[in-house]
Amino acid sequence: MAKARKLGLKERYALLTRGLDWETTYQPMDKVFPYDTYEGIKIVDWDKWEDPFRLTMDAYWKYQSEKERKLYAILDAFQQNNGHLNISDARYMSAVKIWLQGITPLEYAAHRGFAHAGRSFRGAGARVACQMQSIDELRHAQTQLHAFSHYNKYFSGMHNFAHMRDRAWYLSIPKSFFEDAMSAGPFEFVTSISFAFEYVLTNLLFMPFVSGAAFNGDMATTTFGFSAQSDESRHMTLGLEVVKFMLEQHEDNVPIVQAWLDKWFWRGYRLLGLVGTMMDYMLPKKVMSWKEAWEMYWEENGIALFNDLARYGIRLPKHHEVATKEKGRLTHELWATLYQYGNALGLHTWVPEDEELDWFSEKYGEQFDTMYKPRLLYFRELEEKGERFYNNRLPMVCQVCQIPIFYTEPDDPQSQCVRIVESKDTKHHCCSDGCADIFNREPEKYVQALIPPQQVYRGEADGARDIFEYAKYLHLESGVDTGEYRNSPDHKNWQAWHAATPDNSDEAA
Amino acid sequence: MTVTHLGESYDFPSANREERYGGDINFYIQWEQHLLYACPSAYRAPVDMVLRDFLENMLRPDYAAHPDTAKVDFEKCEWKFDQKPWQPDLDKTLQENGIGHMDYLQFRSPGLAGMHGVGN
Repeated sequence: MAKARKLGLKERYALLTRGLDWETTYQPMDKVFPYDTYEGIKIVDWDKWEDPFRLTMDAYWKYQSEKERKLYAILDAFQQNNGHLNISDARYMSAVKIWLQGITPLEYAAHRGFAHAGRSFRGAGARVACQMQSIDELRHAQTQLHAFSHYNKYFSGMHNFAHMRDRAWYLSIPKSFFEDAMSAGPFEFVTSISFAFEYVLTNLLFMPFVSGAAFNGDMATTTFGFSAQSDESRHMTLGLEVVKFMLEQHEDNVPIVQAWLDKWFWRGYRLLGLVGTMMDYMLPKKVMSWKEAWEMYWEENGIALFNDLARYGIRLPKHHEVATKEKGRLTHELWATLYQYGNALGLHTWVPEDEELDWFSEKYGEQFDTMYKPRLLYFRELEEKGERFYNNRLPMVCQVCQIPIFYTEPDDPQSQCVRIVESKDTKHHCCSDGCADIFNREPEKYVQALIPPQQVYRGEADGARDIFEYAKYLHLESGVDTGEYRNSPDHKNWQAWHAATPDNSDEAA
Repeated sequence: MTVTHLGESYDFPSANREERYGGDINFYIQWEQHLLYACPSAYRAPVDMVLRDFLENMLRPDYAAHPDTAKVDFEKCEWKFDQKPWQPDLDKTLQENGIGHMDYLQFRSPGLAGMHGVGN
């Protein structure tokens, strides 16, 4: 019997990814696939969809299972060797906590979102790409949970992330970001997540976190970071591909895509403030400043990318210059916010050490020295007097990005920036012209937002009347999971684990 | 503009509409040049509360940690209502002062411009 000819890569890819679809006959195609047309995106030829990786499902399973085996071998070794003792300092755990509470649930949301987008596209190439990304995202959520589970045995604030994710004021920021995308149509979803988030902004998210983890001795996080890296590069490529595909298919798509890029650039930038603050403040050993990262990944790479898209009629996203104006203040303003609302925060905050203040002076210059350093030193002064500064009054929150409105005017960092917008039954507040534009484009969508302080005042947070009862509603234990790092259980445990000789204080008990 | 949508209509009331406050209102205040307090503060109060009582019994205690707070004379402050100059009567109620649901008030305390020369 003649041996069957082995297929070439290209043939094999074509056979395994194309021709999987068919024209329906019992029901019209538009009824079976209602979502891929209502946004107004016109697709003339789905076969023009290119998958630059030519990855088939069988190859995908093989690669992923190899990575999985390596990852879990390292995680086992990490746990058996008490890897948590090797991190730079227990303050570093705030970075891990915000990732677990805020970002890991986004991986799971992305899994759901891509599964839905994959079902919604009638082109087989796009469906296969979405299917793989959907499985990737589920894997990322799982590997992160497994990597972090060891830390949960030794540090506070990690015990109930899923409960918190649906309730906490600072986690409604990432949650609302993804739910905005998931409740849009499939083309907007892939533009928001694959392009704006994964392609344009991911370097500002993934790079600092994973290299920050490596720098701070966190082997568990570093390992899942590397395990996810090849997936991330595939996701980035999908993001660019989907935008080029829409722009090449029909000129009527250009203004729709531009509006999405304006919106999702701004929403992505607002979300990344949390990551910037992690880089600058939560990493005891710093990798690079938010300002430097913004200059490298946006002002150089991001703008160059948009210049490449100019031939399709795409311009730079609206308000990008505001984001650049804020690069010297964003993380300092946000850290002061997290610090003062610490009584309802599932991670610790603190005033940085002197050598960290020097690092800020070097990276941020005069603006830090005149505005933010004196504020931090005042916080320190109050703390040393035993009057650690907390603001227990609930804040005004942006109706779109859901961030407490701590931002200052783009051209005046000493004056608070608030924008008032109106819907037919009430007023709302936004943090910026960027968010106000997003609101005014789709007011009926954003009026539905569940804004945490308003929810408390309406009595819808289990009847919580103040920030302490609200913390209880989040399943946070005051003074254990929340607030100041110094003298917290995390801090005391860390000192006890690293004490060369047992000391006589009651802390060792 | 409106939401591009499938189906007949896409129309929802605001989650934070006034009728959900049982006769009270939700409104916001910011003390200018005092950025130690990162955000405008959110309040829920009955509409017949006298403004002075609100300022003395609710607002002032919230700002207790700032060295300027004890010295503020609300009578001498310069006020804004939804970002426009405004003159309240402290002895009248919130409602009589025209303060309603989701309004945004700001005040500036003359001679008390925060700390460190930068409005902290």
